Amino acid sequence: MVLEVNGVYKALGNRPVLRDVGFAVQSGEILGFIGPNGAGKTTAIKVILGLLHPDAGTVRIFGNDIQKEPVKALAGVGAIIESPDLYGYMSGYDNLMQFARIHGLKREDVLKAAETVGLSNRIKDKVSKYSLGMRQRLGVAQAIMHHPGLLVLDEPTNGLDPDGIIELRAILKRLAADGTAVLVSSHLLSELEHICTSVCIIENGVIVSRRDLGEAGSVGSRRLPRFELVTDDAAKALAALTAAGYEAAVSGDKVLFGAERGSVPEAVRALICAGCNVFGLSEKKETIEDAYLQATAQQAQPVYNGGDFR
Amino acid sequence: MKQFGNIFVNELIKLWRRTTVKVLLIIALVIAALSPLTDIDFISNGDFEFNEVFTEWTVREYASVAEARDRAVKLGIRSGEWRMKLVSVIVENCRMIETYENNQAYQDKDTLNQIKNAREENEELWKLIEENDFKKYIAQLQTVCEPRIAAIRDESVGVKELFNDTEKKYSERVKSLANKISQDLDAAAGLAEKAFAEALSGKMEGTAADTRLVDAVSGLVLYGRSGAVNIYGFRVNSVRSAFDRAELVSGESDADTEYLEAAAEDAAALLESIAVAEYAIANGKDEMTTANASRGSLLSLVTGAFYGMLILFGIYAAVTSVAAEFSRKTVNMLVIRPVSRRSIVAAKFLACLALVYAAALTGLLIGMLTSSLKYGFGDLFQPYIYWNGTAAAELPFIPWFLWRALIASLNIVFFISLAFCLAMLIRHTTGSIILSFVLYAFSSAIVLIRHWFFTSLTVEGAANIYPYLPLSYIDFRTNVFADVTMLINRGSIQNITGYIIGMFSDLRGLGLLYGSAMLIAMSALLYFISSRSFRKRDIKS
Repeated sequence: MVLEVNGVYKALGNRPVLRDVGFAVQSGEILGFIGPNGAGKTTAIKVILGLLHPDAGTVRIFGNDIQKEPVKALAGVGAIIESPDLYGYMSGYDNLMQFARIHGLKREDVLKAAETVGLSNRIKDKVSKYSLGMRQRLGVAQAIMHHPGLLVLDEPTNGLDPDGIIELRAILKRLAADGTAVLVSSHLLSELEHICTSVCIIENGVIVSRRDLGEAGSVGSRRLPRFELVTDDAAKALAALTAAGYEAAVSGDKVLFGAERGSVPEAVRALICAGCNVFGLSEKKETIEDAYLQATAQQAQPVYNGGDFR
Repeated sequence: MKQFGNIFVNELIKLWRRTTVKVLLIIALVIAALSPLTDIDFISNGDFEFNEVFTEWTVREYASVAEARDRAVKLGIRSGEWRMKLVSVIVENCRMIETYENNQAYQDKDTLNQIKNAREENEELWKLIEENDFKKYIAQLQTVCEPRIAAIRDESVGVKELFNDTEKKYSERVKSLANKISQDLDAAAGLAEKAFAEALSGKMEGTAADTRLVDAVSGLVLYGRSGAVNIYGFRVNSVRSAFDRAELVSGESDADTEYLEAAAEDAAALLESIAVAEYAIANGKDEMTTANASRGSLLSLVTGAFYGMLILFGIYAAVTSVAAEFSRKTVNMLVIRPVSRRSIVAAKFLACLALVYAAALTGLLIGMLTSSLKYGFGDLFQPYIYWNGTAAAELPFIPWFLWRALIASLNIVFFISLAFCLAMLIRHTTGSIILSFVLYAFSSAIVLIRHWFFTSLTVEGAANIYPYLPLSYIDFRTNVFADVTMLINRGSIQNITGYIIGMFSDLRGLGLLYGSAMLIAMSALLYFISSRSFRKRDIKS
């Protein structure tokens, strides 16, 4: 496990901001960290990065306690916290060199990072002359240039143009494929949708949900793909699928059920035999929005009875 | 260690890249370059001795002094030469004569005799000045000094006899002081005799040594004439009268040691000055004197606007290094690196110090260059002769000067530490700068108020406590200058700094090293508070 957060409490003044926060991120995982305004996302990230001292609980990065061994813990960490604040009176190159020296990197590493984020042409300009998007790119560059094992990003797409967002998406996926654990917090659920493999939802300082994305329902301990059936008699379809052994639920005029892809034709046959009209059938991935709304009790989709929705 | 080195380099680069830092540095270096060249009175220059003798107020108040000044200017008398010493005696006489003549209360026979003697002395002195014959003057001075030297020797014996008085019980401290005074005066008298002999035998090497001897022996003469002046303004005509005054004030047989301590300091300084003069003459050294323009101009670097500017520069660098990181939130990007917060604080602090010390060294070198361009390069290579407690010895001037500059720079370290600590606690750039500047601007006032507070306390021993308290050495350059003055040429500089020297006479007694240690300790405490604050507090920006 790359990042382990256990039982973290944090109050700012007299106001408790984090209460018994706990989650983990493993190598290659991209965990989306979402919650409403004031939920405690940024506070949690600051505690993880050692900027804030927790009142209770532990944060371990690569097995090192961030409070007791911060240097070891932060050795393989890259981060962007809110908008990256850099030294405006220095160039982008000088800013990156500031951090490169600490990580023991060379000039070539800095230039490569600048190229990765598309800033090669402007890297020698003063940061005060950069646009918001350029500063964000530079922030990404400083976070990834030392090839961290854990990447913590707070609103990483802030200010980025569409190309920048796509590039960032690709970078994160590549990093995750190489084994980097990524914790990303953003208000743009649609963006997280494209990159996250799991999601952690926080509300009022408490983790209300932690799940993997894309698969729900299960056979034994295995999660199954979900399918959405468009029919004119949802109740009849639900009964047919249930009788055939599938876990199903009604959602408006649609029916959701979990099944292996190979057994979908069988499910269709069961429906036809039961006299149901099938107007459409498609695989439905669970969205972050689904998970968020469920977790924050603003349900747009029903939960499976006894299913793995939490 | 390498990691720390990287952070240190980062901090230096960050400071150096700030435009305001560069602007302040340039201003400081310009001041360093110009200080030795200006003729402003409060910045010591080659004419300061002349300006001290003929102050504006003195010239305005006494018509005879104004005449004397005109006459001195016509004769081309300048600071640093032996005739300047005679002029200062003439001016003293003029003031005394005019005061007595204008006041009916001073028309008794004794006073009229004093006036007559003073007029005659002035005539003799003007004659000597116009003849410009140093050897002749020395011969006459020797004639005047011989009875005084004999009187000092007798007095030394007389002081010791006081302890034979079984009715009066003197404390060990009093006895120790009296013995010291006796020994020093006796030694000073012996060396003065030796110096006279050497001067008259032809062992004179230019005006520097001549002036040294005249100045030293004048001190001996003045000690007998007007006596030691302690901080309370009472004149003590001799060691014996110090006892009399002490007993009168205390009302007890155990003499108040304050007067004796003042007399002891004067005697010790007198011995120093004569010993140094004798050494210079005996060894053919044409060493730099206080009156020398080069030395005065160089000392102005340490005690004047340049070091003041360095303090402002250091304050800005310290605040920028810390508070600006919080204000701009760049501290977040720093703290999430694999470096300890302790290392970050240390690197920032050391970077500030390194930058300021580099600026100080550069400024001092520039100042030495401009001073030498004006007054000549030869002066820099004259030895500095000093009293090591038992004998006169010499040092090359430049190392001595740089050592004094280093001691004086402890003041700068203190204010950097203070600004650093305030910035770390307040975490606000403007607030930290304003508070630091205010504390610096009013530091002398704070120290004076504290001095008055403690000396006004009636609790026994309270006045002795404050040297051990923080803030006693904020304006440390004053003490450094006092130390410099004592070692070079005691008592010849009677400007505002001399007044402050008087206020801190008891601190001087504790020694330069003690004051240095106090400043270092206070700075270390402020650094410790800064480091702890940064390590323990949340970074909420």
